[in-house]
Amino acid sequence: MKLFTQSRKIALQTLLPKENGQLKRILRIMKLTAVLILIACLQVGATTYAQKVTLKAHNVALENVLKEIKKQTGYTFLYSNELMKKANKVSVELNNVVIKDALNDVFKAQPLNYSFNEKTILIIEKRASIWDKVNDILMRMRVQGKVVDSVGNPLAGASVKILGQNVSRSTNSNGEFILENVQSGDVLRISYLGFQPVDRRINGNENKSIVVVLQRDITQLQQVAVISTGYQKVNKSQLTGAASTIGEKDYNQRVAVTGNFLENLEGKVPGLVYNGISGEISIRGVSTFDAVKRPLIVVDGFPTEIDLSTINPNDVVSVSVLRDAAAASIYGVQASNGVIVVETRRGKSGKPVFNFRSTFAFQSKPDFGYMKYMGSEEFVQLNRDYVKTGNDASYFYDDYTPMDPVRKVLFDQEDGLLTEQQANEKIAAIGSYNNLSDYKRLFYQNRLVKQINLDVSGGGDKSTYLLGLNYVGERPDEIRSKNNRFILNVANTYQFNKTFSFDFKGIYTKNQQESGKTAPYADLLPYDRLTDANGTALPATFGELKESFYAINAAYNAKAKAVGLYDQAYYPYEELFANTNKQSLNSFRGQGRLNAKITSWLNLDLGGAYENEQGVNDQLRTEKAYSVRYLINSKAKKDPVKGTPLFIDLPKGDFLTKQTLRKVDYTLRGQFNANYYSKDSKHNISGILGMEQRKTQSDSYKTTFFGYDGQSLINKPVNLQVLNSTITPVFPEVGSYGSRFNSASYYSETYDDRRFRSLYGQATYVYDRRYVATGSLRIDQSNLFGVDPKYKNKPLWSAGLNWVINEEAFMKPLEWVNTLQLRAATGFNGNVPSSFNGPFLLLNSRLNTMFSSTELFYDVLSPENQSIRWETTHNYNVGLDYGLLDNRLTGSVDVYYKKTKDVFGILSADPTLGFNQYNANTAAIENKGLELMISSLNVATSGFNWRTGLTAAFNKNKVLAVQPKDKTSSYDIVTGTDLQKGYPMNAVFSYKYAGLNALGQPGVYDRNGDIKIMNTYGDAIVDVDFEDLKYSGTTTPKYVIGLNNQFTIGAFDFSFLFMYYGGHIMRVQAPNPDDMNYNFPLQGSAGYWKVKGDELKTNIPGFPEYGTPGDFSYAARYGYTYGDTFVRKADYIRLRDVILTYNLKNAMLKKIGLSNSQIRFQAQNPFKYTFSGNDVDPEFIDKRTGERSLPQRPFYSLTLSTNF
Amino acid sequence: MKKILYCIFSALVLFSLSSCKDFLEVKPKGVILPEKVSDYESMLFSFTMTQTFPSALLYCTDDFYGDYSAVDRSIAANSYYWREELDLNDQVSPVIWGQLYRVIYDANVIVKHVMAAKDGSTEKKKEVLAEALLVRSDAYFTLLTAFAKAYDPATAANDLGLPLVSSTVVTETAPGRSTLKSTMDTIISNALQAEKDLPLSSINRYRATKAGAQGFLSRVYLYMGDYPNAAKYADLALKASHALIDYNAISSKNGIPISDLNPEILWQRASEEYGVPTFMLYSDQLKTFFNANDIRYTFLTVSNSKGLNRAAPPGRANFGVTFPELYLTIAEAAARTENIGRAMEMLNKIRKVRIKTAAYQAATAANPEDALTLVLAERRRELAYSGLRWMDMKRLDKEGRMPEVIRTNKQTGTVLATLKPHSKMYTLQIPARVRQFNPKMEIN
Repeated sequence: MKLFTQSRKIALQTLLPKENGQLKRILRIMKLTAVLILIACLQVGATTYAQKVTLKAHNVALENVLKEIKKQTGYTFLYSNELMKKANKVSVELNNVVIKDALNDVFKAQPLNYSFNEKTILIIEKRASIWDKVNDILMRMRVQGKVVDSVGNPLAGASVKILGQNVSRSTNSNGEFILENVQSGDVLRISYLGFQPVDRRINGNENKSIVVVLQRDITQLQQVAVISTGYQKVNKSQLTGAASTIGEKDYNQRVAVTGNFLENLEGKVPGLVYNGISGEISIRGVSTFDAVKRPLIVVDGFPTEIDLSTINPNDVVSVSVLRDAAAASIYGVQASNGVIVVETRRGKSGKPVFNFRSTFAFQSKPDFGYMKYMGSEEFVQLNRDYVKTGNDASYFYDDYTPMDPVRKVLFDQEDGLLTEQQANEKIAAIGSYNNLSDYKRLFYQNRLVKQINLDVSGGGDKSTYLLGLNYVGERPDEIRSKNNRFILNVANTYQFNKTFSFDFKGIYTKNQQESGKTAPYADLLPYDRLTDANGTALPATFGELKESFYAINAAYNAKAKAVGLYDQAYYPYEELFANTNKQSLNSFRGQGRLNAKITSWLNLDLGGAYENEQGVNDQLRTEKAYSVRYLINSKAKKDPVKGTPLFIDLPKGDFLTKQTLRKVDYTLRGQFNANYYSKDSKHNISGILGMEQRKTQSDSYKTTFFGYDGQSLINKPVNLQVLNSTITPVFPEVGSYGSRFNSASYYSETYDDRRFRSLYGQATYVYDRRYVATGSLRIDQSNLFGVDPKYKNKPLWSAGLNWVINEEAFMKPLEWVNTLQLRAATGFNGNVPSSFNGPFLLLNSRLNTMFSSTELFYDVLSPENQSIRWETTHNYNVGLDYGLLDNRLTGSVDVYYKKTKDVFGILSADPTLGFNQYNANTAAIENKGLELMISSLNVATSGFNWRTGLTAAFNKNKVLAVQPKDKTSSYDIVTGTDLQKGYPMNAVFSYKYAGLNALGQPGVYDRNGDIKIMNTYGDAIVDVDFEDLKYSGTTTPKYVIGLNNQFTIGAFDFSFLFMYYGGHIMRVQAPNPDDMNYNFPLQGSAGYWKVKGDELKTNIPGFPEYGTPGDFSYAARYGYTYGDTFVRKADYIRLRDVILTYNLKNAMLKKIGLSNSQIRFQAQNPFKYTFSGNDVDPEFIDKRTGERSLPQRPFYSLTLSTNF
Repeated sequence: MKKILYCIFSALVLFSLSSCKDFLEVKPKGVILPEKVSDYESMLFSFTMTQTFPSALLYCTDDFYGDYSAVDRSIAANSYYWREELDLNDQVSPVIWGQLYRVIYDANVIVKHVMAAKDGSTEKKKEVLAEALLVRSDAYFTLLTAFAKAYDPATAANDLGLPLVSSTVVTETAPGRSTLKSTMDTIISNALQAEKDLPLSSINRYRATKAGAQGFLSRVYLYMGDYPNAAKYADLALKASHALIDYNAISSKNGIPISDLNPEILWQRASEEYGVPTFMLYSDQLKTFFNANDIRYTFLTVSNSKGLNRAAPPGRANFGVTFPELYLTIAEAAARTENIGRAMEMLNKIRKVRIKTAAYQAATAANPEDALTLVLAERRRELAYSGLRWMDMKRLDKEGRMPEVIRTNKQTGTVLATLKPHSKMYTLQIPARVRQFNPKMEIN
């Protein structure tokens, strides 16, 4: 159909004077009535034999062709009707050809022959004479040629095809091809992705060696006319919903260095937000709490459940993002968050072509300076003031509890054991050391990544193949870590006969990760030494996670060691080697699809995908690991006579915890595809109807070996019964609290089996190529009993319209408009809650280890609740697509409105009925927004090309309704994530901080402007309420803009991508001396209030002095830490990547058979600018708490690629 | 023809997909829709239904000394100072109330459905039902000791009791408070039904037996002041096999078996708080009841710089019915019914195994009041930190036997709180969160 449209257009243009619009329209209407017959151009020629014919026909009856030739030349034809019945349909393209040649072409594939008799031509039945046969063979020839681009570079893998025959070849790495048995007059079509195809007629007398020059097809590069929904491939002009596609060229603009295929999508699709740090991905905002938030990911038509690292970015051909209901609801309940459809490469017929790509990447150690950790001296000062104000005293400690060494000195001074001078000297000695640089040196290294990709593809007429290998080796920035990934993939296609074709893909992935344990810096005091001069690990003051509950001090530790127990101190540097985690994941994915053509307009797909993922996680904790030593110590028994420890219940030695994970899922699908045109081709109905069955099963087993020896493979028995029971340690030397042993952390099993069966259908009706209507319907059934049967069969549907304006007659004069279409669609999507809930009472099972004999028990997981329903999202989308100025400027605009009802959330409940809260459909949330995409070719000359791509998404999220919640303390509002009606989902509220009063107490303003000193737990509770708080904004960006520029300058390609995220806010961590006890305080925290008058200089509350009028509770301090002064705009711009590619044109390389050779340099995240102050990086901060995380330095890579 | 064949073939393939009906019938694992007797019985092993003693009822007793600062608003401190609101705020599940109504929910699930279970004999179903009824009665009883006035038969019909919940649908509204009498009647009638159907022995001491129900009834009757019935059910319960551990025969508390193997325990109940009563300090007043000859004073305590702490029990601490409690109940009932001989006989059974043999002398009483004083003193010693003290304080206060309880800061000597005789504080207020959801509910 498409081919025909093009040829008709060309014919019309030749025929008609361009300026005559009226005539053009009339003729156009006339011609339209003759669509399937014939279109020809008359040329007034001279006389008799020299008559020339110009004619284009596609599947036209011979009789009609002859009539047309008669009209053009005046020759008459003689034949019988019987003879004409034997004739085949004719497809020819003739342009000013002498009648003899024209007839040769027309009769080439006919069982008929002709002979001239003056002005009459006699048609007779063909008889194969010997002469004919000899002539036929003699006429055949061998054609060789070469395909090059405009600069003369050979194009490897270009397709060379003889039109009308089932013969095709691919060019080799030198761009050369050889075709045998070509007849004079045959037309070769030479095509290559991204270039305009060229047709070349082979004449018998011409040189049989040809050179074909292909021109880059800019419009084709910019536009991918077909979008894959996974179930079908839809022409863009038939789409009514919001969907966009990234083609191979755009996708490959950047090298996904670490092999994560999602990385390359950022900034290329409007409405898709990908966070490279957290790995979160969302389409058009989030409108759920409990249910699945990630978009559905579909690979080559089938959803994938296994690890996304199995998708090799080097194999990606296109990525389609389905954003609204009309595009996505064919996926049913899984599609609420949009769908990402990935198509991967298949082989191309031709000689084997090898692709090779190798990448090396480097990133320096993370930037610790950004963390603004307080130095030792400031930390010492804090300790002094803390003790001085009476906030800490020696009698707060048990005998065995560890103590900060500075405080210890201060307590000793208080007790008169040290003079002030002695104390100062001691403290100065402690505070003179800071461990941050040692910490960085001992735990971190530069990150290195290498990736190698090699594949080969080729094939013949009936089948193609692709075989690929990919290896990624990474040395992450934490010492002792390494990651390795290996992918092997195969893709084959088979055309068995005219009816059946088959397509197969298989991927095997092996993923291995290993790491030691990097002790968090917050575990340490800044003056804790990590190693001694010899590099031997030294103990930290406190235990793991800075805990002092199970931890014991040095004196008790010495006692413990003396009785024969393990050293129970925490050695952070030792932990790095004492803990080893190894993860190994093997995945296999295979999928096949058999297609059978039933009639010209109906075919059947039978297909399926099978995925199997097996993983093993090994966690080895040697007896040098803190967690092992204190557990064994606290479970030790005592020899009644000697008093020495007996390690009976839990033996000494290493722990090895092994977990195996398995995930098996399959999808089976049977689907009819129809595409029917009416006789006059005005009506087109296409659609699919199918049935699908899916099963996802996952399970895991965990087991542990105690007293494990990796060399002898010996492990020792343990007394789990006793270990599980709650007993205090026998040895008081290790403290009073026995560490808990929960056998579920060492032995466990999980099992999940989810099954779906679905019926779905989609239909598209096109009238006259101008008006498109679509509709889809899907019914999902599943074995999840979390849903009431009455909601189970709820159909999910969509409906849409598309008006292809550029096909309207009145648009024809506007030649600069190539594409213009207006789309509108609506639909209904569902989402399944991820937790177990339902109208029924559900119990979960656990083990009660409180008894001397452990018992299984059941308890209520979710109570009876008849009101439970699925979450539903109603979608509306209106969009406009355009292509202007020969498609040099293309783009789209979409406006959407999404309303999600019955959002799952926690509902506060009357505890008298048994539950303080339960899951229920509590809220309604709306998302509305605008998305636009502009792609323009700014400059296109042979030596210089400049393209700009802009994507922009504006999203506004609002909670429309939420079940009334009871009064909450202001602290819960400023720190919580509760929905508030009328505000966005991730709204942040803050105190209006009023600064410090003369006593140093932090205050907040209430709505009347009065200052309150909050106190939640004092005798007089002082709090502010919701109305007194300030709405600071939302942590979700409202605007996401990607600006991508690509330049081609001779042999160089240069591109860079800017990302802008804006309209959102973040909380930044306040300098707070109180963090010393729970967290690591920021630099500058020591500038707090100490004496009256300081309130004029500082806003930082100090340490309240116990029992004085200036005392304040920690609730008052929240007015400062969660005050509006520490909320900032989070808008930022990031130069996401800069890429420079050099296309090698070295003759040497060509000689040795290399083509398409490239060297590419890529820098990721080399620059960022935060509008509210560049000291904060919104990508490395918890926007709700303000806590910073270690920022990554720019990531540089060098890639070499070539074909041979 | 060929095309027709394709159509038939494809239709067959599609049909074969849809025909396996069982495909969607597989139930997820790890989650249970209860339908068998064993499903309901397994609920009786849950933390919810075995950890039914609220630790707040330890902190508010005169057994305990707390070193909480005056501004401490933790639940323990709020209980210790008998504050109006015990909870941290009105968002959290309220202490005592939330915990026990959750127990009642689980019990109601069993009560409502177990008789309709798909399998199992009627006898087995009745046993499970009986146990659920007993656990529910115990929960209501504990709630009464916290949120209702001490039981007085004269006013019980007018005093406020508790909302009696039977629904298991969370979207319904809670019923209003019944009278103290009707709450108590429900407790007793349910316990009596349980006593009828419960088996004679069970798998461990957390699971109820007939004697356990009798022991519980004895406790309830004692609280009500119905001494004949208290003694009657204690006698019945004592018929169950048991033993008193002679502390003279063991060298340390390690000689006491882990709690659910302890022959002194009849029906074990644990607390929701893991650590109690380990390291809870003995109040000065409680210490006055002991002397050096009392082995309990050394066995069951640890000294440190803060004072005399309760030692960790072997296994999880028990707050349910014990045999020593039953002996003391009989002794008290006898003293109150002027049977001094029986009172002393029962009292001495306990004393003999707790006091150093060398120092032991059988206790005697000159008159019933004397006998009662001795018995009540022994109750302080034997049942310290066993969860009964708050209930005892309440019933003794009603009859004017409770002195003022004072909380002081030992360093400064400041009095931080006082629990005066007949104080309103003996009845805890209905928690704020419950009042919010039930604005019409009458408060104390």
